[in-house]
Amino acid sequence: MKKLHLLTTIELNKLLKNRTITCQQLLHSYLENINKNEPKIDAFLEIYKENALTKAAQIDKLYDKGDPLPFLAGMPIVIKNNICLKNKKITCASKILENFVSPYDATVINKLEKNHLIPLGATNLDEFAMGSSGENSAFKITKNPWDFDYVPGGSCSGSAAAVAAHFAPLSLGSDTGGSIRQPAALCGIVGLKPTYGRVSRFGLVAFASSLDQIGPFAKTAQEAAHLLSVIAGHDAQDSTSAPVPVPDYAQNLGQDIKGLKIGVPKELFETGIHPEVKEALVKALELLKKQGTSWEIISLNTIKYSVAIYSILAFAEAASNLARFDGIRYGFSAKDAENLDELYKKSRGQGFGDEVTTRIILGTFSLSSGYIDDYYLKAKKAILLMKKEFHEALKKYDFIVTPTSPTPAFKIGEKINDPIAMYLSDLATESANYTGLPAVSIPCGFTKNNLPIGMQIIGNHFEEGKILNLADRFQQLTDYHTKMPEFLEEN
Amino acid sequence: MEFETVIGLEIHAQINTKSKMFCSCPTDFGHTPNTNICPICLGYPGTLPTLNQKAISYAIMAGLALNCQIQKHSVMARKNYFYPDLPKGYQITQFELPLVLNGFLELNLNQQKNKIGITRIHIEEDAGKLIHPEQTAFQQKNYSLVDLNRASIPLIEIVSEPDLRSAEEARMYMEKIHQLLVYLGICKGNLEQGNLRADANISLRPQGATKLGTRTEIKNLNSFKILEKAILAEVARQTELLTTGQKIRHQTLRFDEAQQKTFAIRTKEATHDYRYFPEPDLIHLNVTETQIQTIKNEMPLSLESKKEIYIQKYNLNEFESDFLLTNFDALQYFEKCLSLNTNHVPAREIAKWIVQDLNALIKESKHNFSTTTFKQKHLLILLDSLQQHKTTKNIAKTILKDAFQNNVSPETILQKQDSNTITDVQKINEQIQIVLEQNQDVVTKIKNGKPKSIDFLIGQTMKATKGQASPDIIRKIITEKLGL
Amino acid sequence: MTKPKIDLDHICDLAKIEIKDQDKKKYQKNLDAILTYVQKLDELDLDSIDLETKNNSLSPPLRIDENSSPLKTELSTIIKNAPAWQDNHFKVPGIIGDID
Repeated sequence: MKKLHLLTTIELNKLLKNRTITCQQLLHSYLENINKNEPKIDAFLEIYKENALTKAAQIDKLYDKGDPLPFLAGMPIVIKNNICLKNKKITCASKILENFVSPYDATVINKLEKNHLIPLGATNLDEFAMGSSGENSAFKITKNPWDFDYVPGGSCSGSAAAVAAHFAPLSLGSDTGGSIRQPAALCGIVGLKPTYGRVSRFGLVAFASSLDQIGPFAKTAQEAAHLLSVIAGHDAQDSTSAPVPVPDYAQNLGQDIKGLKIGVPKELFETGIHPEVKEALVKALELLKKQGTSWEIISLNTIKYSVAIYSILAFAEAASNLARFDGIRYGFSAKDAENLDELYKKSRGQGFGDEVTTRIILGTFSLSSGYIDDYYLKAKKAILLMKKEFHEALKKYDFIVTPTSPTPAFKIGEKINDPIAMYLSDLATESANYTGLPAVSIPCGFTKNNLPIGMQIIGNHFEEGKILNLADRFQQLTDYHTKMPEFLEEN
Repeated sequence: MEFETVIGLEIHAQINTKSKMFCSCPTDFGHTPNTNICPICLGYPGTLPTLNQKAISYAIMAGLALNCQIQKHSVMARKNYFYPDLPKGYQITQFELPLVLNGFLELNLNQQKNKIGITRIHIEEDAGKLIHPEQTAFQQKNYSLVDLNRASIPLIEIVSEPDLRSAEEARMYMEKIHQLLVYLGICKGNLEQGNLRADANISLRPQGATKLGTRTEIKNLNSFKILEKAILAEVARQTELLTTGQKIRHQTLRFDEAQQKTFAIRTKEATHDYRYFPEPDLIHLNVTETQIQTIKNEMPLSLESKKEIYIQKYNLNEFESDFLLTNFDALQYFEKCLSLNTNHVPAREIAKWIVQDLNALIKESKHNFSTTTFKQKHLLILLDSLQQHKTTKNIAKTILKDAFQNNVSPETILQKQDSNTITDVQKINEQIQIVLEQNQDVVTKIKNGKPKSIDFLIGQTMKATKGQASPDIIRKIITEKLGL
Repeated sequence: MTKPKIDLDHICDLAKIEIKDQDKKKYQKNLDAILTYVQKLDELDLDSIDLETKNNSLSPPLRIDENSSPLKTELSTIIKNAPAWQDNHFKVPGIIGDID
């Protein structure tokens, strides 16, 4: 039999239910893999070995009893280290929170607990979720499991790499401008950003409050669907969460896709796209066409302004959200401060990394007196225009499909000194955050150098089921999602 | 040159809710520092605010009572600045689109009725408390301490138009707002505990001019007296400057009570750039017409209407009526008495006893009118007995004290008296005879047209019989004997 | 929109964040590059966009005023996280000149 950590949760669920394997055996398989290969990847900031073993033993008892259990019971899951777990260090990959211990669980963590998933560790990220490569972590740089010289993408660098490296079958991340989808694409796995308000943000360290969402990573759309059903739902503690009932996303897969219409924005197709990415996307669209869908090029002009909008709006909200890190109630506090003003400036100056500092400065500027109209308000108006444009498009088309990232993974160090080039990694993904639309990235090919290529499917509000369905149908026709990074083949 | 004083007041009142503005922490005063806190009001990472429904209702109620327009669509906003008493590094408040706009409060000063405009009312959260311990000779550096119990307590801010024209009028305005908010139950009104504070904006201009002069702002005035003194001091200061040809600088000031002067606050934040933007965690606050009507229907009658009823219908005097209308708990106690009053004890009687005797006892005790165990029904039973001449006023006072202090119901005491009652008319007769002989002067008084003095004789008889004779019977007998 | 130069000292003071002198040039360069890029928004016709359009959707239900404690927190965790704690208070360097 294949090693347990190489199986999907669908297969594992069967084996656990009929007691062919136990949760503890499953966990050990992952732990062995982590032990052997984590030094190559550096996906984790912390591994919760003892907690996980204890939980696995408890869940085994439940399986032994024979009562019906939630589908994902016993599955290990790794959590981006900006989602709060009680009594655990929540660092956000920043020096300013290096020793911060959260006194409470995020709502999504409570939901994982209820469904008997096993948090296995905290994964690395770009500091405060600000980045597109993983290189902005204050502690370590996560490597792309497909080629260790390349970035896994960001900001959920660790989450995506961990799932791609089979350290866990599932992960939770957060997406503000593409932070789940882009690393999913670069690591050859599935990553979904739900509709804004679909999943509670309570317990997610805020970056840009009007854009942030927590979402699932998995290797297949089916598994992502299961995980989404677990974490989605209205939360009274999050006033922006939507009182919309949660369907059984996995149960509703398998719908026919004949007749569905796909629009592909030319702004992400005709320029600035890596030729191999374009080739893979066209191949994928043609494959779907054979199944009865249709696709055509459309124009969504406002997409071109995504990065400009982000640099204003996201950074402005971030500057405000990060004001609470002041060295007074928690976090790093400068010991050489002679007065209050110095306490603030030194704690924050020494605690925050360069990219975070840049964004705070720009964000503060955009809201400042004399500039707020030309910057912050202008960005908000641009978003309204974009919402209109996408709304019109989704009246005519069932989906908007784009490459998730204009390029495959790039080398570590390649873009770090060119902020605009780095920001442009998210050109295709940011619009789903502004419009609040759900979007999923799925693997749709590989480059000649065996680097994964991802395709993004965007649907209308609360149509996660519909986009997962298309993704799932695609995965039934292809095998990109079954491929494994080279180092795992050696197992 | 004659100057006209122009004053506008911003009043911050803590809303009387059980929980804080954005979390469920308790709001009661006087706890150990940093115990009424949670990750949300501490501004911990990942936390989100949720709006307190009661705080909104109370703000709407204040708006209705001040003749304002309730905005069906308003927006919460972030006011960004750094200070240790502000955990998130921003205060959640309202900026461009507040909940309430455009109303007025009528003031009656020196027989003149003035409408003071209310520009707006909005909701926001309070900040924590800072303590600055004195620096001692042994300390190398000074430091300050932060208590976040008060952080995120709900506040309403009531902003007046610059329609006030004197320190006296400003004081009256503050007192009236205070009375109104306490009467409606919106604010506890305890000034020592900081439930209500005012900032005063003051400017002068030549008499007859229409353009406003440069204003200064005195912050954090937390008593009516201090408000009045501070304004007078500032007006004096500005007058002095203007009459010597100097200009007024737009400054933020504080009032030093000891020196009775205003001083500029030295702060680096001279240019306050608060970078307001709509709060993305709360967005819009939509209120429906139905919700507003419900609040309107459940509101107490206006202060003016209530006062009229008290005076015209219940025959209370000014003092009694004012007492009740400025003491929310006593007013509620009184109104409950009225609702339980099946035996038609005159409302005036009830009010008198509440305002005088009961109030005195309560003041001495650790309780207030809402927490006292001496319930309304007890008072009514006692007053009913008095009504029916089953006891005298003085004895009733004693019974009240006895019942209150020993936690015994008046019924029990009355019953004891009854059971010990001497019904032997012969014995009573004898006692009465003695009392009459010992108090010939009183008898004369009574016969000469002072019938009320009979109470004294009854009292004496009761004393002599150790309270064991029924006052009813005593009264009957004396009345007969004196041929009244 | 005219592309301004960010007054780094002023913004860093507003944002209460300290940059080392030797890094100021690098920051200024990056910020300028981003600000230049952002001028792109001028290409859009935004005159007809009204930000004031009222959101008429129902507000989320408001929180009932009661003292439930879904986030009961151990004081020990608060103290453990606090950089400076004295007499049940958070401790900060002295403040010169009060505001409120």
